[in-house]
Amino acid sequence: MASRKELTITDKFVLKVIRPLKNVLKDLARYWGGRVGLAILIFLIVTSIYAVLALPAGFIARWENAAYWDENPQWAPPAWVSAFGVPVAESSIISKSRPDEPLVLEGGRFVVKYTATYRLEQPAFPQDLVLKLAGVKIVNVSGVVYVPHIAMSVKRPDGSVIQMFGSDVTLGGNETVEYIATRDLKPDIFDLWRISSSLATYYNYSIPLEIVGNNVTLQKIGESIIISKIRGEVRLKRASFIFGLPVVDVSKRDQTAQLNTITNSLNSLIEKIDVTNEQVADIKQRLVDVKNLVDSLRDEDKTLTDYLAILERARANLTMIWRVAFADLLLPPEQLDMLNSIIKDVSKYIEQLYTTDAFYDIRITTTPLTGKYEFTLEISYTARDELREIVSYPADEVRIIVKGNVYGFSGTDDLGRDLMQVLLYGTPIALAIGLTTAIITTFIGVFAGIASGYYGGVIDEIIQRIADIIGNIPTLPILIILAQIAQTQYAQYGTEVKALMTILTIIGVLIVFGWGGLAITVRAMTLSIKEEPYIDAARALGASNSRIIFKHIFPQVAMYASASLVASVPGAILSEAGLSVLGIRHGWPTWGAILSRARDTGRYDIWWWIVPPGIMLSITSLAFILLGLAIEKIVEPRLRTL
Amino acid sequence: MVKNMPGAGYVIARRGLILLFSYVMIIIVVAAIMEATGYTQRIYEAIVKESVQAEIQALVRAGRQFTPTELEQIRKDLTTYYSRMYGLIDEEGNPIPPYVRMWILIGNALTFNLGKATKESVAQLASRLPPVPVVELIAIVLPRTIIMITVSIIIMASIALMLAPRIAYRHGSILDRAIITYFAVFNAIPLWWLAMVFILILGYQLRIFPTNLRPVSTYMMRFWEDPLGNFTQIVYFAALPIITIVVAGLGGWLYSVRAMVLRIVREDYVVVAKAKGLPERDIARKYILRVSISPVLTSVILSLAYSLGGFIITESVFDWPGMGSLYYAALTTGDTPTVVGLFVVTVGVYIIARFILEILYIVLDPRVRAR
Repeated sequence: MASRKELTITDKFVLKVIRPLKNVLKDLARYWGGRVGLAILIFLIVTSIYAVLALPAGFIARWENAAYWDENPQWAPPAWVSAFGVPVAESSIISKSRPDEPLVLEGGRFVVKYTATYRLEQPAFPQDLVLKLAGVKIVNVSGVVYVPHIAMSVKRPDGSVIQMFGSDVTLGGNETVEYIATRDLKPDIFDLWRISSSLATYYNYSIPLEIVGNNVTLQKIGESIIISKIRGEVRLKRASFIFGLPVVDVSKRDQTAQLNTITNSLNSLIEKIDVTNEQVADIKQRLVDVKNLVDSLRDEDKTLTDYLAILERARANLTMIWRVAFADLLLPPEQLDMLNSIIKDVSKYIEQLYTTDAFYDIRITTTPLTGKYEFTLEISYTARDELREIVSYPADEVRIIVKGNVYGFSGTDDLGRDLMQVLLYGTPIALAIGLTTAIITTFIGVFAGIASGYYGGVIDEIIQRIADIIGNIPTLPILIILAQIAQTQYAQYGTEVKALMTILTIIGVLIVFGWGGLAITVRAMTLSIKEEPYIDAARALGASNSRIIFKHIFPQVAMYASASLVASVPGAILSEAGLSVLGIRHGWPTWGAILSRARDTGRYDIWWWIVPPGIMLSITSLAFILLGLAIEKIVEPRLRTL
Repeated sequence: MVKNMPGAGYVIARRGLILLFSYVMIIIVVAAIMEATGYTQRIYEAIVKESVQAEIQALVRAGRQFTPTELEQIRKDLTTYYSRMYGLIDEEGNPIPPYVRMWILIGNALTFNLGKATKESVAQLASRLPPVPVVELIAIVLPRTIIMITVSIIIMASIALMLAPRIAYRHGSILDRAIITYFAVFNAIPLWWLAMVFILILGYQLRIFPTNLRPVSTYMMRFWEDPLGNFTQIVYFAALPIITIVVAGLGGWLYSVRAMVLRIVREDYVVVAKAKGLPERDIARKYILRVSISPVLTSVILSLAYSLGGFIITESVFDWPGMGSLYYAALTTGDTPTVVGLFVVTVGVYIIARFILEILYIVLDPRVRAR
């Protein structure tokens, strides 16, 4: 006989781990479900490894920090929607640490210019335009503080130049500057006045002559009315005026109602007048004339100029009639009062037509203007020789940010956070939660079940009663309340500790209330294994209880236990996500946390916020369910022999 | 062997005692979680502080003038009054420790003295103002869960009972595989996420179903004023949740009923019956369904009993004012009487259902007694 060969550690490893694993995988790959499950699992594991390696330090804190994400567009769909014909505006962040043009002296000021270009390729509006300045210098030269003036303008594809913004940096009331101070600024660059007047100057908006008539003053007033309308629109839809061509459509507003009030009261006055003598008859006739004059305005082609001319004549006539009637006491007092109020109405109407848009119907629409945009930022200081060196680099960094209407592969949420990152970094967290819970639960379940079945008696009774209790208790309410308690308990230790402890509490509760079912099944299996003759034989040979349990019983239960382990992984992942959706948040960037935020804001309509995390959750649990089913199939024949 | 078999009465009594023990233990566990962790104490202390503050402010607003010492005295009196009301201190003013209150709570729960809900968001589910007796609260809210979840389970179970035996009989066929795939996929999808997606698509995009389901409570409360009209309204509001639950859960039901039937289909006597050339329908009805009905019935009855507790997350996603929402409102606001009351009722119903099943088993199947 050959001497027994000593096994090296490598051999043992191959024999005990690699070969069985290979067999299991081969078995699994025989089934269709097993193959799909394995494929998803491998994808998830690779993703997790990548995520763990790529995870930037402090990501969890950064995720909750809204300021970090403010350069991204909010609620932006994924960039690939453009493949479905949705026009897309790219996001672009232009960062400059040095000026593009050296300092020049212009009109007694030192001026430094930064320029940035942006191309709008498709007819869509970017969401917003943001200017950020880091470390802008404020200088104190022998007691005089020089603050920079910041101005921004944009040259658009059609050649128009819009002045967006221009303002001195303001110092706080009791701020003092020692030599050089720096400021980080994020000015609101949408100066409504500048933008609306720039637009009006370039595009020369005016009221069509067939509406306003040839009165030059009225034309000028009309233009200013348009500008103020544009101003109101810019306030509401700012970026669409920077990146779009405003189209102003003016039509005449229907004046029938206003004319009716005047002619109706004139009519009722005319009817009331009793003709007692010639003079009264004359007054009545004159009133009828005025009425006819006003009625003549009902023509469609009357312009504002006509309106004002005729109404002013009518008012003059009415005033004269009133004077005559009043002086000669031709009309009773109440009719005089009526006449007076008609005059007031006409005056009010005239004033309205002069100063408001009562005569116009102005509609402003914008269409995207594609092409090249050149942004120019000017930082200028009052010129003084000592300043020249210091202010030739007036800021550490200048950022001009165009927020597009789409973002990345998965879009953004309400704070502009990149959802792709949670989909990525959520994977290892989900797997860790699921696997930890499943492994510990299965471990406890298997050994409680074996102990219960093998030893019997009091141990059996105790374990089975506990399994009974946890089998009958609804787990979710317990989970909610304990997670809640953990959150209040650990709130004082900061968010990171609180998050960790909440997750650990969830895992703990799932373990404590999760092993019962497995223990009952394993006990039944152990009971039948215990009756096998070879167990008796082992005992007769003097094998200890622990040897019998580990060498003879455990291997038989192990396969079933592994099926149960795999099948129980999704439970914990879905419980964590479900709790997040309920609003019990831990603060980690998990898939459930995205859904939770979507639910909080009530935006069910934003599909890229709701669908992808759910798909990740679903495919993760699908992988484990398919693997569980496949393992069950492999195990089944052995199960049936028991 | 037969000689040692215990009588049916003994086995029933033993099982009953075991279940009763589980029930008592569950109530103790819940009470311990609520009280011994100090959770209830913290919440009650906050309420006492709030109530005292509110009352003093009301007095001041009513124009009463107080010196600082008077104010201190009033604050002290009110604190004592409210602390006594919420069971934080006894008649002599000594604080009652949490573990004592825990046993008081357990005693009340086990004697079905469920007390009153004190939180506004809890009472609101029954369109009432606190305090509302917990029993009344549950009586108002329970029917809403029944029309959403219990109805869904009845629908799923009936479909599964009709289809599963046929699938099991032809197991391995394309239909069988399709059912398994359906089960695997929809078992993986969380029900509450499917609910969100259905609300997104069927509610917001296609506008087929309402997205705000709260009004269902109004129609249920006034049901007898116009039964037919209210019934159609209730169906209108309950349709989306029911469809969601059925779509998500039917796979699981088909799969498990199929598995139970499959175990019988492989029995020798079924193979013999097939070999004899008995008509398929007879085999399905007499040989398979009759035998497999008991495990199926067990899972139906247990699911129905379990469903009365509501689906907390799904109800919350649909904003459906049922038992799940009640659980959630009570748990998060720390309304201890309602929380304990809910456990008493839902766990109680579940345990009674299990006990009835045990009795049925023992009476119908003598083999079980040998356990």
